[in-house]
Amino acid sequence: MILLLSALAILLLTALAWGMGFRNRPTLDESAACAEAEGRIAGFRAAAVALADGGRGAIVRGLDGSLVLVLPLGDGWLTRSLPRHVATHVSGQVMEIALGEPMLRRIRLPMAARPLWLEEALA
Amino acid sequence: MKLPDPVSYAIPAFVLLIILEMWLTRRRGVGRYDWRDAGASLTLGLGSTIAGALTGAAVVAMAVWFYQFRLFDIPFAWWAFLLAFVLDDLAYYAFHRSAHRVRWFWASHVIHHSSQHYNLTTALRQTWTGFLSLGFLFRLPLFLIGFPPAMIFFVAGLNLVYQFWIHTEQVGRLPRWFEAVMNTPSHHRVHHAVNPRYLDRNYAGVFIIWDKMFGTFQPEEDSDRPRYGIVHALPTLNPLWAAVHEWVAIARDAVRSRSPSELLGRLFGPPGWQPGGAGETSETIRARWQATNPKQEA
Repeated sequence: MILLLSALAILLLTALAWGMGFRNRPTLDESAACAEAEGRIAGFRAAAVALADGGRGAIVRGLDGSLVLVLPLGDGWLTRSLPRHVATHVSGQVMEIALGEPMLRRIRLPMAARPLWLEEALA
Repeated sequence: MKLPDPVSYAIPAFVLLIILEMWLTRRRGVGRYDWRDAGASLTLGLGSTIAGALTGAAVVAMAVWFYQFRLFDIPFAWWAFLLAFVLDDLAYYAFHRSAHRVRWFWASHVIHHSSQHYNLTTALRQTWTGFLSLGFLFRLPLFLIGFPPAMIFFVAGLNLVYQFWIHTEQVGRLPRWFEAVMNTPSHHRVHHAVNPRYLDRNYAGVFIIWDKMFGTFQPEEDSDRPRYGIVHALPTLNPLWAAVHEWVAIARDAVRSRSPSELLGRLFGPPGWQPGGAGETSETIRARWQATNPKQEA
């Protein structure tokens, strides 16, 4: 009985959060992508940004040439340093990147217009 | 002597304060809530309660067994409760510091830090696997000293209740005398942050004086807004993965270990440790940050 009441309370509080509008799906612009990458990866300094279509992700190049991936997660973002020779595949307007992590094996980043530095970095 | 469980009595207040905090977040634009994250945190809290109910009898039995070897007979007196509360908080500091510095303990504790939000639901995001990592061992010396198990479990409950309200961005800084002695929202925001300056700081439960005594205190800097979560943030809001992901990683790393010393490092080294210094520990992250920000002092 207590278990059922607890589960009900969780549902109600979660629904209340949804009802109060805490269900954002934000989009990135260049400065937000840089801030996210620099804030999450110690020592990273952003030099250039390739935004995914609709601002739903980004790849940020650092001053040292390293790459940081920024992906949407809930109302925020998830960042990952990309290894130098990460496996990528371009299929039409979508980039596929194999991260190989549990729960994050492969991501698809819609990016119709890719800057040259990104094409070269991931070639 | 039978004492009440303070956490059970506090639950209605927890719910009301969460609702109040949501309203303040919406009204003031300070802090963040996300319904998916809040739901995951609350589910993890319920799972932790169930896990505690399943393993609680074993913990109590162990406490009673150790208590028979006590050095003193400490009575149920007001001064004993005060002393127990302070010493239990010191034991909590030792546990909590280990929970961040030893991967075996971190595997359980990481659940509490796995949200990138910092609000009152984060306080309820508690471990499912505390019994497995043996974190309760840190309280055993209190039973050997002679504090009755019922007294320690009571003050530990009070400690947990205190720690609830400090998980908020709605409270800025409190009066200086309070910030000097007690753990506060400001001090604990530092603890939950992944900014290199803040990593592995402010382990206190109730009294921040332990961090000041043992050299792990870091005040919140206005110029360095906390970013919450863990260094390698979880790619999902799935509560089950939050509960077990580090244990899965430990198992995978243990199987890959090529020597007994590597195995020990992967089990009991600091989180992020890898052989040959290749890993990302708090120390290496802070060093890299200081190298690129030479004017900063951690």
